[in-house]
Amino acid sequence: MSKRTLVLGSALIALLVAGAFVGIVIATSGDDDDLVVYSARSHYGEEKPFETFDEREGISTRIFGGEAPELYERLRSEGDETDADVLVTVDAANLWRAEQAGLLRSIRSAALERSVPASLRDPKGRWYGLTVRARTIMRASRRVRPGEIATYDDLGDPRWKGRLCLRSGTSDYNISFVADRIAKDGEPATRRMLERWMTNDPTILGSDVDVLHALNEGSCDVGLTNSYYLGRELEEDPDFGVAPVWADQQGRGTHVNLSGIGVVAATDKPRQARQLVEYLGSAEQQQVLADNNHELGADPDVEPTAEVARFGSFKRDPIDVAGAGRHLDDAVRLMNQVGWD
Amino acid sequence: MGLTTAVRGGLAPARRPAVRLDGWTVSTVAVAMAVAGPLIVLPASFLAAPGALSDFAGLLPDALVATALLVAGVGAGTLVLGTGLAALVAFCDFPGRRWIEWALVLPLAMPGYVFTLFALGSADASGLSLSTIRSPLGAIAVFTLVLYPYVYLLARAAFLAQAGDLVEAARGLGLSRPRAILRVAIPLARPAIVGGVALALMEALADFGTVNLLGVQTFTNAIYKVWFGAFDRDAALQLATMLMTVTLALLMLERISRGRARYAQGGQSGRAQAPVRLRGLAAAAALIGPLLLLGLVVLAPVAQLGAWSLASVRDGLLAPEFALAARNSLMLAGMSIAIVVAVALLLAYGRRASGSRASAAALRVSTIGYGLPGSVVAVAVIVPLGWLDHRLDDAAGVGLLLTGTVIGLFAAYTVRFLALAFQSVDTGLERVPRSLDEAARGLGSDRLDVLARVHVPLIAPALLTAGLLVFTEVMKELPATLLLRPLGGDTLAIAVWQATTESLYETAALPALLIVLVGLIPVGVLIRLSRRAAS
Repeated sequence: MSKRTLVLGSALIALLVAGAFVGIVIATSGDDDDLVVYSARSHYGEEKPFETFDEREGISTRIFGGEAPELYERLRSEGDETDADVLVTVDAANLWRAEQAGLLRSIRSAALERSVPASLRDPKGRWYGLTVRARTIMRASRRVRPGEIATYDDLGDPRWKGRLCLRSGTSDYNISFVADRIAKDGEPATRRMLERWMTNDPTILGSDVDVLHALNEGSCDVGLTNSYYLGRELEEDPDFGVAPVWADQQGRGTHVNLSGIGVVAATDKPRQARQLVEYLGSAEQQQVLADNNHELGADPDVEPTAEVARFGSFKRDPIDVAGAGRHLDDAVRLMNQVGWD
Repeated sequence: MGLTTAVRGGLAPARRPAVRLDGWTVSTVAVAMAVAGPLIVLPASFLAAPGALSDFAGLLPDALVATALLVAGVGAGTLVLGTGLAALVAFCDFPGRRWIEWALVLPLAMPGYVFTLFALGSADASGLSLSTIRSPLGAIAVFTLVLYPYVYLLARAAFLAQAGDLVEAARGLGLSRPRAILRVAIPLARPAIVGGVALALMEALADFGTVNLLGVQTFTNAIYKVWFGAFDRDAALQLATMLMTVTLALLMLERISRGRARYAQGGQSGRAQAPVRLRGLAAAAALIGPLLLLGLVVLAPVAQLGAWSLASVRDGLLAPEFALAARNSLMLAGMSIAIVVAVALLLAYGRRASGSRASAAALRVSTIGYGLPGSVVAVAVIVPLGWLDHRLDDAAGVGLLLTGTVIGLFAAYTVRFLALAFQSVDTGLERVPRSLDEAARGLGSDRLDVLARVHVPLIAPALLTAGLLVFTEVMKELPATLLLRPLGGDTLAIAVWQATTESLYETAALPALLIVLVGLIPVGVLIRLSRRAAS
């Protein structure tokens, strides 16, 4: 190879890269008319409400998926120039973060105020709950009788030593659960409860689904998961050997987190964004979302799926969004101190 | 001038001047700084929020212990497995060696998180409980199995480049053949072996998917917890600074172990010494051992993923925009080859050409990114780029050009994977005797000319290796892509991750399978090319 070949070759490669680059930019820039949704909800089977929205309102959407904290970081760094118009999260804490950072804009809507109870939306209308998700005790139904466990605190009872399975402490759902307890019961009481759990040498697993499978297969007897995961398992296998226990029914009720939606402050399509929020927040579309994932609608009139209906109704303890939000870092620290990996 | 250089080079080795401002030094330092510069936001976080980390001091002991365990375990594991297999195929002959020799590279195409997905998803069948797999030991096993090819590739190349007469000479001095290999061949290959282990370790330190799925509390996991659990970005960046210190220590260890030794040898390649022909049981073991390994690391996961993929197609559980993700992955990986390898070549040759300490130091700094988690690199890149972007937008009103597009992504890939390409290119260059440079210079060629006419042809295999490594790494890359991808820029790795975090193993299977299969293509190309070169 001569020097000229090297220089020419390099130039050619540079040109190719530049060309491909322009190609990618054009290919990924998409249609400016599309409404861009940053969504932390699963990609899978969740497209339907967006498709019907397009059919009915003539507004097409582009969904950018990711975990809520990452979407929040992205929104924050893009600032005023963001492409995002709407933010959807699976966890109240992340809505609170976005609202605190001034990333969401307030919308007033009589329709939304009807379909979303006041406890499940921001008083200033910066975010609205779409569905709620109970995080409760799960028991191996073949080995643990219904009355044997009743409260979150009971998970720390010595009788469950070596029989308790928990999801990892990095899970948003666990962190929000602990933060909500700290907000409501104070840190000392929450610490006592978690320390008792930890003396039971819980098996730490990677996902709620793994916890349910461990219960079903017999490697543990009690656990803590979101209830919709059990709905999914029962839909696939009606003989799945796990049953929910609605926790703290004599007390505050079962911890309930929410998946919610808000309009991005820097949107350049506020009207369409608002339309989408109203559409997804309607009882009808809450029903579609709830059906798809065995969740419960924010609107009490939304019917649960057959599998979830069998779990029975229960007293809810909705997450204190602002309180839990403020205690997220305390929760992470506390969980680390007690050894919940 | 050319002649004096040659003479001086011939009479006394040139001493490295501390600072010399020639074009090569300047461009090497400039490029290295452009790559490493963004990482300054990591230590700068201590100035921005001095007390941030004290809130999370409790995470540190765990992170240190888990990280030390991982480094020790994966270091020992890849060293033994990689060097052992390389020695086996380089010094022994047995039926099927020609195939085994190349097949052993295949695990390179298996990302840690895909193997973990396979291990977790088939825990029942294997009889291992989930909590056995989800342990530091499980993580060490996974990393050793998927990362040993780094050591294997570099060690094998080094063994084959050795002159056979050295081992013969050692035998003449009374050493048995195995001892001669142990005492002469392996120490001679030390720069390559240590380089390979360093790569494997940096890869393990930077990993996010595997340790997250396995719940090992390494630095990466602590960073993720603090950042995305508690939303304390400053504390997370400070943890990342500490991780960077560990990486730097590793790099320095590698340099020290290399010392000033160059181990340059004559330019011969191919099999320089006659391999020992194994017979009977030994031959069978030499064949079956690697086959079992490959069965576990490649065949079993691919078969299981294949079965899950079929199930997902049958049940209509395919990830959406699946074809688009595949195209994006291929384009990003392909373009990264050109960008990252070019930068690596420029830096490696720049250091050689300038010989100054400034460029050598700049280089060391520029390769740190490899030991950092992609998410940290992404933030390091996005902070300065975002700032520049907003200024550009204010000035020209063009919107965000750098951060919402693939430019940010390529910047992150370069920071992350430069070390990988650099190691291969540099190892290749070091094996070219410096006397060749001097000779070519003596004949009147300038530096660029020498690069084009002497080095590039001589190190073409090294460049290819570098390109191959970058391609497969970008295909597998997850956390930086998650944070920096443009709208509509989802990749296969992202499809796998999103499905896995939902515990939808069947949906994750097809994109995962494609990552593995596409990763096999460049491995195959490399194998073909190298075999042709060898024959």
